[in-house]
Amino acid sequence: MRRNRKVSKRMSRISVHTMHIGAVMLMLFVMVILNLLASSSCNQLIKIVDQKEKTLQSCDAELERTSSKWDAMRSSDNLDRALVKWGLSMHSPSANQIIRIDASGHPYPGQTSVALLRQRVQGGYSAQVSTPAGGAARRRR
Amino acid sequence: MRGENIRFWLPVLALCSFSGYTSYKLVRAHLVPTTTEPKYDFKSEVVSSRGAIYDSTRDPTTGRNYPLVKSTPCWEFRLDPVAMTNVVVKVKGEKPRSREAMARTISQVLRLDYAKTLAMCNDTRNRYQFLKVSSDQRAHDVLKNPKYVAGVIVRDTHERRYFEDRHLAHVLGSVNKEGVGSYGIEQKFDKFLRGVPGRIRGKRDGQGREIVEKRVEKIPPVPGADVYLTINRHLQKDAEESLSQGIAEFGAAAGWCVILDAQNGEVLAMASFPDFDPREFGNAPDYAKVNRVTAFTYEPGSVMKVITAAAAIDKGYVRPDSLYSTDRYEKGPGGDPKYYKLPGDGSHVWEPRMSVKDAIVHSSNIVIGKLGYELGPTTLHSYMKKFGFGEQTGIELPGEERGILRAPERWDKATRSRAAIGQGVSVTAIQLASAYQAIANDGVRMPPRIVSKVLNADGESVAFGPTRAGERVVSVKTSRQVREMMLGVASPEGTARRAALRGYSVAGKTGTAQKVRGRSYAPGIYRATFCGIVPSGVVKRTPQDAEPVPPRVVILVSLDFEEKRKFHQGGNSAGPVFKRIAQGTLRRLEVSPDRPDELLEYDDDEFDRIMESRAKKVAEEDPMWDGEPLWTMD
Repeated sequence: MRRNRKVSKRMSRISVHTMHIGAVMLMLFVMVILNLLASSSCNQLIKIVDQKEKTLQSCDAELERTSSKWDAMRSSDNLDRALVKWGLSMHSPSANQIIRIDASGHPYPGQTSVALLRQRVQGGYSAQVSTPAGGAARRRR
Repeated sequence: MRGENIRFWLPVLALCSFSGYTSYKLVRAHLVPTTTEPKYDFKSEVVSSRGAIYDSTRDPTTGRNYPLVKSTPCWEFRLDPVAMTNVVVKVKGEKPRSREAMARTISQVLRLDYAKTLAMCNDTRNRYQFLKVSSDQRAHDVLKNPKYVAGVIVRDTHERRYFEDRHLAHVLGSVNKEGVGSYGIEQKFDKFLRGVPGRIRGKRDGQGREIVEKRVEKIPPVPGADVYLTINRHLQKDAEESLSQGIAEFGAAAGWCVILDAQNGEVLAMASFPDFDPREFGNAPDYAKVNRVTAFTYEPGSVMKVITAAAAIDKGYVRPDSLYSTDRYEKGPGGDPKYYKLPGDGSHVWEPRMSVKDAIVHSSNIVIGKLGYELGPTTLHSYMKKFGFGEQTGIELPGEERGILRAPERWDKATRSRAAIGQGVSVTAIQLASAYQAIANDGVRMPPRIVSKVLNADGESVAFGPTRAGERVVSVKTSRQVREMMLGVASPEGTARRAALRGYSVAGKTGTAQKVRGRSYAPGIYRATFCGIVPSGVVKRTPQDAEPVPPRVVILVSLDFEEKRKFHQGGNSAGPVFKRIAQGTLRRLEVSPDRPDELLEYDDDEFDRIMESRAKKVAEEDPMWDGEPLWTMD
């Protein structure tokens, strides 16, 4: 009986230690498992992010390539070639061919272009009306 | 008892071992990754995109400037013929693709010659053969697909694209194969354009692929800053076309021109011929690489007379109507020659006395030589310095020359009159145009500039150089008087009637400088120049206007002859080229005419005919006219 009591005392002490150690081990194990799960999840996310980054990069590159293509199409020489190709004879107007109008559709005063236009329409040119403050224009011979 | 212990300690030990091992691996994997085998470590540089160069015009639809140069992502395709043989390429259910079939696919998608491609495929000694750089997505998709080809190595890279081809080549410059700027703006602004490369540090697997989850560091690249020029690409193209047409028409060996904004000195166009293809810069001959506007000096000839006249008027020595004897050997009060070895006169109009204004209009060497002699070396030199000669203008282009303007104490007696007419001094075209800009801008010289701003990737402005303020060179009154004198040059009476523009007044000056060969002037070989200010800034649109129409542009044109040519004079060769360039420029910039009457009265052909007939009449009335055709006059 005495021996049994001794054993049982020792056993109970061991079982307390075992429980502590077991709890710590279990906690450690759980932590490790959680860590592994988190790590795995992170890795998956990293891969997804990397994939998305690559997609974004390729989209950016595609955008750059397309905009470059568009810029090349609008270069001066290409525009000229396109005009020739479609038989369009176009060039910028000179200042006397530009008529600037206000919001109500009336031309701004003092424009040579307006004077020219009136001269062509009316068969005569009135500098008093059309040129700024009435320039002295000679009659066309 | 023993059995109980074992039953207890065995699982504990196993658990401890497992936990310890796992922890060790985790710590090793996460905290000290560098302790792994170094052969799996890698560090790579991520290339940054080089900045773009824009012109000054804006796209009205997007509000963005037009790009002149831009780096575009693309792929470099190379060929490894050995890998082609080793890898069997076949689609399931089909026969393996032959080398010939793969060569055909490569040549088709990359638009290469089939025979050459096949020869490359058969050349197994060279395992890294260059095929092409292309931004074609289809070519990339096909050549990356192992179903179609093997042995094609595809590498991401950037291609520098020059949208305007050869236009503006001397200004834009070029980059070498390493992507470093080697000329022009590309070189001067390389540190802004190139950006900062990024970096990736991490691990790779046995096949050399990056293990993304083991990446230690990723620093993204910083793209290069964008450079915005003051150049107007439309003016540039017009100027280049007119200049090359003029070179061909008059038989010149080279030519150059520059258009400056008369108010702020901004360069609107700059052209130099011969030119080069910026994509083939390495193969271009050296003489074609020279930007003759900034990096080439020459004796300016008579265009310098305006500077001498401006100095004399500003100093108060003379007025535009002051009369001078045209006697080259004029005697002083004591009977000795008053001036030392004056230059001979090329003026086609001879009068015993000539005003300073007429001396400019008829380009009299004697009168202007006398002016220079009377001004003295110190005064003339100081005015030339103030006009910007003898030093760099500071324009944002590499290799700018400063010209040759010797110190006044080193001038001999002959130099006094020679420098006054543009001999014995060397200038660059940009210096000359800048000096004329000072006259156009009521006497204030604005340092010429070609870069308006530099913006980084975030759109913030980057300081790229010192801000330079304008400097007053001559008074407002002087500059207006000088411009009035210059009005007569592009008129039937002057030396540049062919530079006259219908509807606009031109204040300009011709120059026909003999070229130096060895130690003397080569007879009959000239360098023709015309520099003009449009509108002149001294003509009112109507008499009722309070102020004249302000000058808008300064245009300088020079043609360089290597042989004797019929139209070698500034007024007859550079003048017409100036006229063409000015017509296009005024049209593009929508400058209102300051002589609208001419537009109403004549058309272009009629205007030219009248100018010619009036010039002929003037010549016929001249007692010294010997019946020579008009084109010999200058």
